Amino acid sequence: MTDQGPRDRGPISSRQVVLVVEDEPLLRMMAVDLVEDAGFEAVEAADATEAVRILEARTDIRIMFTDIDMPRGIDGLMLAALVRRRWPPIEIIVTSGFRTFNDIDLPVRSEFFSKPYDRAKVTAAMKRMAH
Amino acid sequence: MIPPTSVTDEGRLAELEAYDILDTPPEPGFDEVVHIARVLCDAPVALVSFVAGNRQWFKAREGFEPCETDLDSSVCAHALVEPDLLIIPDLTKDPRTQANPLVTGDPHIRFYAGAPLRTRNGQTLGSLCVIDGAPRPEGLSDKQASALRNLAAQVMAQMDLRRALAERDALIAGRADADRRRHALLQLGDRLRDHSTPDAMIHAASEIVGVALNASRVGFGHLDADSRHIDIASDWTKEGVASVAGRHRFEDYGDLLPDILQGEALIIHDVRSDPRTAADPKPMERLSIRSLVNVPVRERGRTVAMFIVHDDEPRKWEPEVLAFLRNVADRLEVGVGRLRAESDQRVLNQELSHRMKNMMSMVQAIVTQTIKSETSRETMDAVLSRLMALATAHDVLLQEEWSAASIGTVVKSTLKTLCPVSRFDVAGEDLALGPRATLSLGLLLHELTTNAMKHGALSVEGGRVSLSWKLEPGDDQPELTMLWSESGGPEARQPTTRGFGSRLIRMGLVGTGGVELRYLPSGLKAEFRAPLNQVQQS
Repeated sequence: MTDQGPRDRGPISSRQVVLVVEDEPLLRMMAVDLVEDAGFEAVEAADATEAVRILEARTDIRIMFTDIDMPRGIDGLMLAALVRRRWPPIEIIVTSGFRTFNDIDLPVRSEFFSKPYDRAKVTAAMKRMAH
Repeated sequence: MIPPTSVTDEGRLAELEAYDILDTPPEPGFDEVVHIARVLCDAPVALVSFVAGNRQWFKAREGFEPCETDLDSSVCAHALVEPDLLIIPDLTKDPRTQANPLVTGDPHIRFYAGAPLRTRNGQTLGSLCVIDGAPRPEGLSDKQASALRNLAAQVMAQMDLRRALAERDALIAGRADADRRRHALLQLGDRLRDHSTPDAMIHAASEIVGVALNASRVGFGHLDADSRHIDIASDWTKEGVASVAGRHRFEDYGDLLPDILQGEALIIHDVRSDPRTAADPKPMERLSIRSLVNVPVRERGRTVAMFIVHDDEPRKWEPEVLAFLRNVADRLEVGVGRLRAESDQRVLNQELSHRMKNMMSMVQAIVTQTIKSETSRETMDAVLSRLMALATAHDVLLQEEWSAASIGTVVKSTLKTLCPVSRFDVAGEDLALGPRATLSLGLLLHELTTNAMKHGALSVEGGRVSLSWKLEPGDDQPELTMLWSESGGPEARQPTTRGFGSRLIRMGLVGTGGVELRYLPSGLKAEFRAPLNQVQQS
């Protein structure tokens, strides 16, 4: 890990933190926007490996909002399962354009939204989880 | 004395065989002839005797106990070469018969008169004969000789009739078999259409063939890459016969590989006599296989699978049966191929859908990022919400393989993304919509619902919407009519401006109008009409 690790990125905000994991930059931009509009602080990761690195470095992540279908390494579902096991308190929201709700196996305490997702519904889910 | 060589003449024996008379039970027609011959000739013994290659056998007899004798004891064998009656007045004096055991010993026969049993082809199969214990120097009277000749002709007439009846029975049985096979093929067509997995198709085909052919076991197996093994996933067996599901090595069962590699059907009528298995038929017999047919299924010049039929009895596999099995194997192949094509199509659809949804997500992201700072929150929500309605309608289409969507599913999926469905009373018979109508109906319902949530019945607690549709007879073809009716909300007012939303509504079910809007004190009532063929157009 470099000296520029996420832990050193300035003071920890009083706002609750949502980790956004999405490989597609435009979609990530929109997701970060959504998170911030909902009143949370957003932290970005472009794949699962980066997400795990952030989770290992920070202790203030409240919710993870992840895409399922990502290149490089493990996909969003495996990431969700890993987070549920290693960081049980973190709430999970997964989204995918490929799967439907019926053919995915979600970890407990997680929600699924098919892409393109309804921003208002995702926002509502985040607020419910952070409550 | 040694019987004449015509006894073993192949043509003669073949014709005797064709009559299929040896070792059959007594029949009145023959018994009566023998009785008349004995009475007419005033003799103690009369016989209808057939001379086979190694014995003589009596179809009818009076005054003589054994039903057959060896050829050394046969006088009739000598009658074969006679053009007409063979009459031997004293058997002890004739060189052909004086050493005959029936002459030298019991029952000490002395006189013989036999009329040849001659077929239309001129083969003599035996004779109708009378025998006496005392010599008759005078032989038969002319009348007796004539009667014996005519009775012999009667025996042959009886024989021909018998054979004609047997042939007719075989023909009827053959037609029944053919009917059963034809019925099986019809049944197979239906069953293959019903099933959606290769295993279910194979199982259905196996059962149909097993029943139609009265076989003991029918199955289907895939060959491994070098065609040395066959893997039988499942098989149908008649009661009491064990399954042979599992992997088998061809070499363990005989010299079967050459035929299999060449892609020929493997046909064995009897494993004990077939040159490929006769050396050691036990491995086959341990699996209750006495006869078998393996029909190859070929793909790009290679045998990839085989349709297998076993019988626990020796069986002559007729050409019609083999053609039937070929037909079944072909249909099975086509059926399984269709499933594979459908599955490929499904994968392709999934991939298309995935790309489409990602594209919609990107459009959503671009729109959001582009107009966020320049427009009101309300406008942005309207844009995003319409995009969502379009995506939802696409989703319904995908679930129906892109070709058509159920109207009920489109309605429910669209409504539930916007508002609790408990606020709606939805009624209408199910109907398939074409892809275009699916998308336009999705957008139409989205506009109606968001409007109702903003200014209509859904903007107040207790307000409801009734949505119903039905088919009605139109000018030249049925029309789909859909009624949207709000109640329990504020009075409906005609909008003063014509925005995009109201234009979407006025485009109607298929984008060509057919819309009637009434702004009533009780709420909005909207009626939409479109010809059914346009609604279902792809």
